[in-house]
Amino acid sequence: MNNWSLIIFTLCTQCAIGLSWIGLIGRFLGLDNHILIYQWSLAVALLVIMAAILSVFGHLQNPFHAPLALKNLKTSWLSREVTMLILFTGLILILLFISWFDLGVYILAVVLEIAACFAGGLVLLTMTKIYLLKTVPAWNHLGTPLEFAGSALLLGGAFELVICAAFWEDYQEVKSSFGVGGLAFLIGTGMKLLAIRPALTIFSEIEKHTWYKIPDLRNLYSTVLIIRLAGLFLSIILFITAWNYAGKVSILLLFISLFVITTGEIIGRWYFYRSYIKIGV
Amino acid sequence: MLKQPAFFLDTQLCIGCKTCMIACKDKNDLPLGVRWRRVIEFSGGDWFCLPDGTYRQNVFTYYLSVSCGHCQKPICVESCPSGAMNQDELGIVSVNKQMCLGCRMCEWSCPYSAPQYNEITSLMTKCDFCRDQLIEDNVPACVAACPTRALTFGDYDDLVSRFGNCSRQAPLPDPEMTMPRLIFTSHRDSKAMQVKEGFIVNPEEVRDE
Repeated sequence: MNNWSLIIFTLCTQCAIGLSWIGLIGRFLGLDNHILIYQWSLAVALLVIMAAILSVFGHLQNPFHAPLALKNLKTSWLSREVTMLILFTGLILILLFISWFDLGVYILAVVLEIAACFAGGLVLLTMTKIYLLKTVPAWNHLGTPLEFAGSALLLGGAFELVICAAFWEDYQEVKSSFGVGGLAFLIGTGMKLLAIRPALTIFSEIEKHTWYKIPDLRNLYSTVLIIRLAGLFLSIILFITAWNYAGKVSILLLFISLFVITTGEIIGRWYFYRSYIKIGV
Repeated sequence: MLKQPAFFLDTQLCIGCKTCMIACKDKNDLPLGVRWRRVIEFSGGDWFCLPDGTYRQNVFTYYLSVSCGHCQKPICVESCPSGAMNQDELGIVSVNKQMCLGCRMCEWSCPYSAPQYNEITSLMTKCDFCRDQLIEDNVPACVAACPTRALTFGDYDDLVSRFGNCSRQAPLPDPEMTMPRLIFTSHRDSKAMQVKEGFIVNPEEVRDE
């Protein structure tokens, strides 16, 4: 099965959710002092979500049937995910519109911001539930939600740092936003590290329930893990280094960090789909 | 027509000839790689040399012809986002091609690998109990083809009351997951689900592509 469209879809969606959380929550806490960071966070989140939606048409065999995916909200987590994604995208679009044209509807904006944060959380929840299948033990463990939430914060944080660095030279007060992005980055890293143990212990579970020779994924997982940890470590070094600079050097270091993180995430997500081994017959 | 049709397999009679598999493919014109019915060959055991130089063995093999269970808790219907997977009043689960998105969610969910992806049409397909045959009081193609009469069908409750149900045997998945209407008798060498003894000899014929 060609899973590249799903890899792009899940990563882009999680990145958009993380980016919007950081932009919205940072603003709530009064840490995000500059409106441009908020606007650009939402704008990039929207662009990334559009990329996600376009990629999913590569997964669907008949894109014109896509609206049918909303028909089974009663029992299908996939239906619920699609619904929440549409809601989340709509809320981000409205918030961006309100902010960009400075419509002055502050109370409405606050309500919509809270709703968007919840919608993003629900997208993550429904996306996770899709993969928590009893028939696929490699996915059905605590590591999956940790991975997904970790990706949201890691990728969202990395993007946020680049956005902050782009405005840093002109607006010194965005340094606090840099801190919010960095914090999200570090929390995302922590979640990724916590996801390692459940992923390692699941191999014996898979072997217990399969009745034919399955590929030994332990070596592949170890290789992927080493690459990703090296990438994370390098990114943290680049992030700390970028903190001490301003202007173009900072932007360059953070772009490299973003590239390294994104590559690590793509490799990790490729492994996730590669580990699809169904139990039963 | 039956109230709740179910497949019944007498594992003592099944010789693993796969005529049922071929009959299904022929009747439904299934392309390469799509198998609505699969015959699992489950084998195990070994030969042992005893201290006195003689040999003993506990080698075993039995066959399980498995198709869609048209389950009482059909997980494919629950997980299908478009409602293409549906269960009718008889309990037969089928896929509506006009509504199928080809997302393969049902394939991921089903422990019996009943929904099968057709690469040519890019849609999901599955056993529909030869509903067109049942309506005309005929039998499903697989049942008609079985040379040993190991495979048959009937009303689920009636079959269970007459034969019991030994679907809790290796290598079948736990029937509690989806409560399939698949009834198997016990083979003399049948192994319990929890006992990790034996292996599927023909995984290429059984697993998802």
